[in-house]
Amino acid sequence: MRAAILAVSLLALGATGCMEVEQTASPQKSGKYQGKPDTRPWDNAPLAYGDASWKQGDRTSWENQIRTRNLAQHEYKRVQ
Amino acid sequence: MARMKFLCDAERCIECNGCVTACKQEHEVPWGVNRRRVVTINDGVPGEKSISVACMHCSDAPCMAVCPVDCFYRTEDGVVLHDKDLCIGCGYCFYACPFGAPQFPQAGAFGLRGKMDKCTFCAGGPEKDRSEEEFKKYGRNRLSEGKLPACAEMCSTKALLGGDGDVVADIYRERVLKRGKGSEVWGWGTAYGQGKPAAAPAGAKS
Amino acid sequence: MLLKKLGWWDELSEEEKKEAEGKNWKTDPSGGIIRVAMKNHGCHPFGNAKARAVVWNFPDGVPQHREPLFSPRPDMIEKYPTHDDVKTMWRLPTMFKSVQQKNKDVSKQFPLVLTSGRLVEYEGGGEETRSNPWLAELQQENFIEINPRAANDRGVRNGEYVWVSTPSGARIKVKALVTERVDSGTCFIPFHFSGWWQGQDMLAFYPEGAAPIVRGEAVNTATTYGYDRVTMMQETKTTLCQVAKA
Repeated sequence: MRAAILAVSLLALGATGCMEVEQTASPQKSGKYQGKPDTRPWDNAPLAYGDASWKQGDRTSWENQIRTRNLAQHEYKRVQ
Repeated sequence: MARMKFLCDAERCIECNGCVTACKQEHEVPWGVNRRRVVTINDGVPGEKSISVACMHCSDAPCMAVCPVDCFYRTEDGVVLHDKDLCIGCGYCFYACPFGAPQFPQAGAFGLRGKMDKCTFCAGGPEKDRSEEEFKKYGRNRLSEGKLPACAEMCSTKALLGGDGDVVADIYRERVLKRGKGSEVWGWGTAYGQGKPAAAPAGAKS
Repeated sequence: MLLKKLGWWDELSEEEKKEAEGKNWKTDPSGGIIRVAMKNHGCHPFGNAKARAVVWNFPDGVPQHREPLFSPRPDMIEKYPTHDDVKTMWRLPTMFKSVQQKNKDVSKQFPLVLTSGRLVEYEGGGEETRSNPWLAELQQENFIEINPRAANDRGVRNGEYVWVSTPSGARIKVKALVTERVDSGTCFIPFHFSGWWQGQDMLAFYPEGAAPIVRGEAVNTATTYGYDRVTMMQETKTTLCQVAKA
């Protein structure tokens, strides 16, 4: 009986070794990644020059801008 | 939601090292630090393939897992960045990375390496975006300017694609469909024929 | 025979017909096909055809093969000899055939064909691009591409320094890059390097701060005498060489 309890407790102890452990210091917060501060790209105002156009703080409009840039790498689309 | 990715089309890469030079120029990377490099397999043999490699901004980044000071973080658009103020230059990330992305600027006595430097997907670091300090430590922050990495945007054959993973995948898929089948239709095989390296011409002296 | 299909064949003279039989615009040595097409029918050639028209004031009206002065094939020198020596060519005596005849068996001593060319990282002589750290880092040393077979015969391993000597008597010290990109009778050296002279770094002779970051042996140190009398260009593209372990 004691041997069985020992075995079960050892098994449980061993199993904890396989557990997925949270590897980052702190969970992600907006504007703070894993406890590190960084400005998000869309929180910057667009450049005063060039064709960049999005609203500061508006993620969707920034992503649209990136998408436009992205599609410039598509030469089948670009020549149309 | 954008998920930033690089993709290099080995059928198109011509090993011009333009991406390497663009990266160095954009971020003023010092001599000996290669955030991006072009790797050629079977160099000089028919069927040689080149591919441009940098940090792949993994979803489950090994460098992040092994870093003893937890200096890495992943941004909301999937770019793996690090904090040079926290980095102790231990080099664990270099051993963990399957792509050889982490670079160390120094090699000196006692294995001194200096702060790790790697591709930032042109997204800078924790410092204020587009600030002088950020540029000095991490290079230019092109994402905050609404631009994509310089290497991908200037690739002359458009072998290197960079940007939102969905868009990149669409571009590549359409390209493969246009080629006909797989990746071979436009590649080496079409241009030079499938086959073995030509035998040395008769009478060739050595 | 396009000319026959067009019905223009009979406009050739009898002698021209003899020479032009089975030939085309590019290969007809009589020039009759060109005469008929251009003069009688007003066809204007462009592209390659233009280059193949008879140029009356060139030494070869239609380009034909002539062996280089330093040739690896003595039998080809017999078959396709170069021009005769010219006493005054723009007031300068210029040697062709005498050099070729004298160096007929030069390939016994220098069996490898040496050709020079470009690298994508550098431009021209490379003085500007080798001074740019971002470009200079990519190719830091001059090298010779040599076939594994040729390298093995000479005991040369990849990455070792070798001496490349040529019939001009010059020797240049470059690193060996053993690759199948060249065949066993050919070597390749990029021409974007300078700053070394026959194995010695000339860094001390540069004005202070003027030396490029990367210096190497210039391949044109080793290339041999030769002259194209039409373009008036010296021969710095190709020659013969021998490679030896440094």
